[in-house]
Amino acid sequence: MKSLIISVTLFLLVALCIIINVGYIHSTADKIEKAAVGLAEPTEEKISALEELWKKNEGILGLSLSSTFLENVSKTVVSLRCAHESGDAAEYEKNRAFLFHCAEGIRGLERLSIENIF
Amino acid sequence: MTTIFIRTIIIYVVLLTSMRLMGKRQIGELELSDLITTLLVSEIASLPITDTNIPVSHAIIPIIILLTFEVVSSWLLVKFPFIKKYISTHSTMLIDNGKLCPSQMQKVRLTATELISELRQNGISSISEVQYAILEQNGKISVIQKPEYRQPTAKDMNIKLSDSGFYNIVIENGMVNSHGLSAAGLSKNSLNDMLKKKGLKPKQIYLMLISSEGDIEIIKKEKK
Repeated sequence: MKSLIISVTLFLLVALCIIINVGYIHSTADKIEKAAVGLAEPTEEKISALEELWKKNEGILGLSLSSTFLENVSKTVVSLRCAHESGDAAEYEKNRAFLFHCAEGIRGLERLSIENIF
Repeated sequence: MTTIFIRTIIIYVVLLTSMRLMGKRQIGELELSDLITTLLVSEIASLPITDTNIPVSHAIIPIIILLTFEVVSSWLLVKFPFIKKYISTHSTMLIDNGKLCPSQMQKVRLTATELISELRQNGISSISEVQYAILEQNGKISVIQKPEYRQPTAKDMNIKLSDSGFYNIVIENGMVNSHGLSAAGLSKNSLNDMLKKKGLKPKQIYLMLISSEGDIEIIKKEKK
């Protein structure tokens, strides 16, 4: 009976963590997407805000997303900064587009869909 | 390297806790679900140890889910025995009262060669010696020999043997085993008194056993 109670409690705890995590991931993806929209007109402030956002959320996202994916997003953020500083508009837009893709990717990993399940 | 080191420890602790919660039946693999869970858990646990790309949570979550399913299903089996016919297999009689059952053998897809091999592993050379052979739920074959081939017991020979009772481990490697001590119906003080009479201390003893009849066996530690 003791092991039944403990295992069911752990299960409910895990379920709760998953629900919270899904909410968190969707909210973070929305914030990244919003930042990407705002970066259509690049400013130092906006890019720093994006870097700050990513730095703040990278650790917790690492609990459920693969390190390869996180690395790709980090690279995109860094490349965006470099492109802005070098004045390379084409590179900047490319990385901005990739940022949208990353946000969708973050959201997609926790989306309940036939593709994800199978 | 450090990551793998820490992940291994985490996964090990999670596995140990899970197997502990699942209990002895998991180790014995009594049911089909026990075998499936053991295989899955070991496979899942090894993934994030070797692949740092995979988050540790991708192992911990499935392990906890499998643990819950396993504990709940075994609890339901105890509470509602009728569920058993839906989720587990049953034993199959292969030799019934000395007669081989070919139809049952066909059902479980077991050949006569395989059966005879199993009998040999049970120390039996001929089918004619066997009264019952049962293919159990865990896949093992239990064999009961015909009375004339079984080893005679003390009862058969009308010999009265004394019952030594059940031995409890009271001291192991110098440490008092409180569980064994209470099972033997003794307190720490009575144990100390017992040892004092023999001129011994717990730290000097490698193994001490006490039976329910009060018989004591002591193995002292080797002197260095």
